[in-house]
Amino acid sequence: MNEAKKPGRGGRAGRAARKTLKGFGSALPVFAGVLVLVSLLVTLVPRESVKRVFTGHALLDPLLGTLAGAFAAGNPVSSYVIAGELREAGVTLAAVTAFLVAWVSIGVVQLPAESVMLGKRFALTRLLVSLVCCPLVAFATVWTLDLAGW
Amino acid sequence: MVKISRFHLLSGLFLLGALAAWGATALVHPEGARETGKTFLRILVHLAPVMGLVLAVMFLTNLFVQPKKIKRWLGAGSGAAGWAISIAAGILSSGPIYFWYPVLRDLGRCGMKPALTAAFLYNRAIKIFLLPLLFAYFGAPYTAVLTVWLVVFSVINGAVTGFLAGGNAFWEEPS
Repeated sequence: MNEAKKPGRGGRAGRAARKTLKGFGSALPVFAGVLVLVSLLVTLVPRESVKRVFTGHALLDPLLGTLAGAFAAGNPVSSYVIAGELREAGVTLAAVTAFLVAWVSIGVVQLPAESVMLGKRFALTRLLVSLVCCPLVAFATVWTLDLAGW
Repeated sequence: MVKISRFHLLSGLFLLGALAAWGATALVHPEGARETGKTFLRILVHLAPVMGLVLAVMFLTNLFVQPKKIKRWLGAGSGAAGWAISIAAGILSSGPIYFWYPVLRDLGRCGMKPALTAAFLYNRAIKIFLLPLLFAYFGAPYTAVLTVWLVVFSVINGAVTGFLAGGNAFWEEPS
């Protein structure tokens, strides 16, 4: 982080500012690329298309919800609104939860950015582990609610 | 001859690929590409304050936090405190996940464990400012139970990711 006692212009704060701008500046192409991809996805994929993903199968739907959420992009508020609509449309709570959790915890669209910034192996491993975790979180949540009688 | 690092080459290629996708959309669906441009600008304006926040966090970290402290708080021997810090920071951090990559890259180079990086990223699923909205849609019991399970699974996610990816994580790669 800070390079203590290293001579340079502007003292410690100046060095920290230069290091910050260098680090942030080098990440700007990655930010811009993700923003372009997210904008494309948000604009070109209609929200209603999510409903067509689900089949009504108790075990398959949480997996499909995970995949739909993982490929979705946009503000998390949208995920809550869509999840509410899916629930009203009769999609199971486990499937809706998997979709919701995948939307906010996995982002296939930002995988290239994560690979560039944090390393390919880390990004891919995290994606695969998160894909496995999503339906598990969904089932754990639903089972807990059922056990507690909520 | 100008030397370009692998990191800069990859990030440039990524941006070019994204722009190519936009360009291809403009060829087959010009209206969609125009709308994409408007969405891009809208998101950019919306995210400007978060960019400021991330810059401030990076600056303060560079100014006040020494690598040996990062190692002690978030490194191999950080223990339960390291997990607690990562979980709390992940929950409290706002804005898009990719804005935090440069911060995590810096911290990783100073010794932050990959497992804690993964736990931080997983806890970003808990949107503390949006909990009232989740509550409104699904009720208090659901919100509470889901939040607790997300925290539990962030530890599992972090531990497994750290175990599988730790040996070749980003801080060991040349930039």
